[in-house]
Amino acid sequence: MKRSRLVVIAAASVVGLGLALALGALVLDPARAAVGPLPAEGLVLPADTRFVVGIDVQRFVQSPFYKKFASQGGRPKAFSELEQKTGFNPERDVDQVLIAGRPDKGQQAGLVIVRGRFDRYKLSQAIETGGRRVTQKKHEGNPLYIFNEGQAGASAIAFLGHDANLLAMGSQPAVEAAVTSHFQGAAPLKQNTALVGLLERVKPGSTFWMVGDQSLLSQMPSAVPAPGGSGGAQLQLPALKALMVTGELEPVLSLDVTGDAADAAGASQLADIVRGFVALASLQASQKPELKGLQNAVSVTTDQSSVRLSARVPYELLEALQPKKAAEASPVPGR
Amino acid sequence: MSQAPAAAPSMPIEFVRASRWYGPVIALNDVSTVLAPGVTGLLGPNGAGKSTFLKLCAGQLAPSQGEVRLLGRPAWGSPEVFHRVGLCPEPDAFWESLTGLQFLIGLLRLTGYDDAECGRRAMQALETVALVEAKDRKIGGYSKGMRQRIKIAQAIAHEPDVLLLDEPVSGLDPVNRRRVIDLIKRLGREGKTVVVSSHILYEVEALTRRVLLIHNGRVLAEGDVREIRDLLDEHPHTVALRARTPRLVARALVDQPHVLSMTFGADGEWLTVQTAKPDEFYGALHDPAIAAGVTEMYSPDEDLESVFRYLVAR
Amino acid sequence: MRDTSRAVPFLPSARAVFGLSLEGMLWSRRSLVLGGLLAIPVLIAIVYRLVLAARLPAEITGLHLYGYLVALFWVRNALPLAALFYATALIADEVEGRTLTYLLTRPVRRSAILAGKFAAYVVTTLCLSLPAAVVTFFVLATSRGVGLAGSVPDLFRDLGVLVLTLLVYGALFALMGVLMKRPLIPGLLFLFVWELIANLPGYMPRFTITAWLRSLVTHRPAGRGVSEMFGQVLPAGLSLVVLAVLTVAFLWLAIRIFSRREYVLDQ
Repeated sequence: MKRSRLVVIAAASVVGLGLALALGALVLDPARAAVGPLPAEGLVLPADTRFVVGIDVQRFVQSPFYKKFASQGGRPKAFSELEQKTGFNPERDVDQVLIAGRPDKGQQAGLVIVRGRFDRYKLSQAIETGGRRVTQKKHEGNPLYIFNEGQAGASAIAFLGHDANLLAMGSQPAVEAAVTSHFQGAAPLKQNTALVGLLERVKPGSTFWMVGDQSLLSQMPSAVPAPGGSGGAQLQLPALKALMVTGELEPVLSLDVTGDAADAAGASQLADIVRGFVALASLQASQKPELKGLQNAVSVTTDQSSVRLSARVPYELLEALQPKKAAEASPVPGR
Repeated sequence: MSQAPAAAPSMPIEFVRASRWYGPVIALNDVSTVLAPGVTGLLGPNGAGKSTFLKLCAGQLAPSQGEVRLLGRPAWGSPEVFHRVGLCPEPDAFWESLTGLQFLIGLLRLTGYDDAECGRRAMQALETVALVEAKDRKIGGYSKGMRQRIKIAQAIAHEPDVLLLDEPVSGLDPVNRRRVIDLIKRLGREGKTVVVSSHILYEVEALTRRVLLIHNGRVLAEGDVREIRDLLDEHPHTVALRARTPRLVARALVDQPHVLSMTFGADGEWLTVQTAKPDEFYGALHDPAIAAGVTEMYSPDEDLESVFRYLVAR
Repeated sequence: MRDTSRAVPFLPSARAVFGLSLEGMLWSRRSLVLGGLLAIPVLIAIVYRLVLAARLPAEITGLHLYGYLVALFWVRNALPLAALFYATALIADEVEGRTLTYLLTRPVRRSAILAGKFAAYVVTTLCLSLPAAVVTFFVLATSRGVGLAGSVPDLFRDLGVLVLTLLVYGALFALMGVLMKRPLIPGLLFLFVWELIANLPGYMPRFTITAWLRSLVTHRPAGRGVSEMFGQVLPAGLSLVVLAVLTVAFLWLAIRIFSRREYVLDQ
């Protein structure tokens, strides 16, 4: 019986050690103050934020998607110019970008937080000699560069903190508020319990993600043409209360979109509409052998009042889609 | 002779018109008897219903009809009576990976003792059956005799008032056979109710004079073993024994007038002896058995079967 | 002081049966085979890491692979199989080995015997499966592109689901074990035929165990077209309640049947 006890103790030790390590990783992880995928730094976003987008730039740049984009000459020329002037290469030096906004206030409330490694001196010089009307002032003891100060659309850029790894950009009031919050250690976004609730539902670790409440979706059309319908038949879209998106670019292009409807019936209705479109697309795709994989790429499920759309598109399929489009667009010779 | 006296309420074991059948097969038929303190031999050939009788006593089976009471309570569905009951089952079955000590301690824990008491009682039981030296060996590595003794040890370790022993000396060497017989007799003298099932009359005779004869599911006779013993003189008794050097036993016994025949097994370890006087045979066997290293001994029951046929015919 | 007028109390007697049973269960050929089966994901994880180390293209990320292993390997196949082989044998092994007599002739209630043996089954299977799950998690969650801390809640949740899987299937198969003489074939049919109903649309999946269990695995593999469309996700709270009720109901029934049944051991 001693050896049985030994086995139980050994097994419990492995599990206990594993759990302790896991807990340790969780406690010591800088992301402990994070809310879902939003890092702690992102909590300086304004309380009235309606949507937040996050991009893991390093994973994005390393993805086959971006590599292909860059190899086809899609890399912005501004990147090279920026690097020449400031030594700053966004592909190399930026780790994460957070974009927050309020659609109802337009650009007035927009704020972008960039986390990376910046040469503060060179970047400041580049801003000051950039040719735009820029003024510099101190806010919370921190330099703040304001573009078109005093005008309606005045924007600003500022480093958050003394170490040069966080940069805030956006409307002047938003940047000033972010700097204030950062220095005071405030987390205004936490007051937005609805958005925080949505953020907590998003699993961290995605290459890109987005959450938004109903104000983001208020701009969306309330009806869409029925799939395969004729005579302009319209399908009424049930109202969505929230939207969550996560995406990966490796090993395949994958996208998970979760929408919260008002109730289960709304979710079911929305799912049916989306399934209809998916089925129609699958039907069309099934006639083209090279697009056969498309059939399995998209799926729609419901869970109480939520609708989840999952798309996993292999790059081969993306490539198959591209030349086809080109061929379809080009005129048939001899016609 | 098969009709039992009226059940006395204070008796440890009571059968009141108890029957038990397995499907269409009747294993025990309308048995009424009481077993008083002391040693009672349950005698009958294989398939007579002895095991069913013991299983009914031990609450392992419910009577199909009638009643079986153990220490004043229904034997079936009264787990509390097993504080005072010990059973040595006939099958040679164990949790083979346990050591002898672990086996006893595990079962004593099930009897409600704390760890210290379990250890003390287990050691005491091991001493009683002379297995202290083998206490830390796995039962899977025990000889047949040792397995039989550890089975007896688990039945007596909690010092029960009622002891049910199914073929307890089967497979024991002469020395341990004597040890177990002495133990059973001692327990009987101490006022315990001991029921010993056997298909060998001489085995039972060595233990007690009170027997219950079972045949074809019925209690054929109850009473003094001598009455039956007298009937057996004309029937030869067969004993099979296993020894390191069976020829030593054969040499010692070959001149005995009561030995009718001797046969050696093909493997050179077994010797089968037919004797007309079992008492004299067992008396003469003791010393040569030790010298020859006898490890197992049993008696086929063909002879008893013929006695029962004879009794039934009478 | 022992009270000989009543059976030994439930907990001490169940603990004693547990102690007696654990040794036989852990050190058996069954444990060797099923331990190997349950540890296969560790090998898969190591091979995955070696493939990554050799800079060969990996089809899925470490966390994706871990999700597959939890949902498809352990919860859907390996643990139910382990439960089938152990739990159906809780009493059957004692009957076959003719050792049940020793347990039934002690002053303990039969409910305590079954509970003790069930506890031994749970501990044995947990000893075989949880370390494998933890090691697999660490091998895969420390691979490229996976944030360890972010995945920790998954580990905790998965370990809980593994325990629930063993409990609910164990209770079901314990019931089948005391109910039937040969429960293995019906058990296999249940696992690999009946449980397929979980993939049907409508209410039918609610009559399976796997549909409730998989609803608790949050990082189930990403959808594969039509099958995902039908792969219903039931509410997590309700799933927990249903699985708990099923476990208790199956065990209660098993105990009830075992308590009333006679065991005629062949000699």
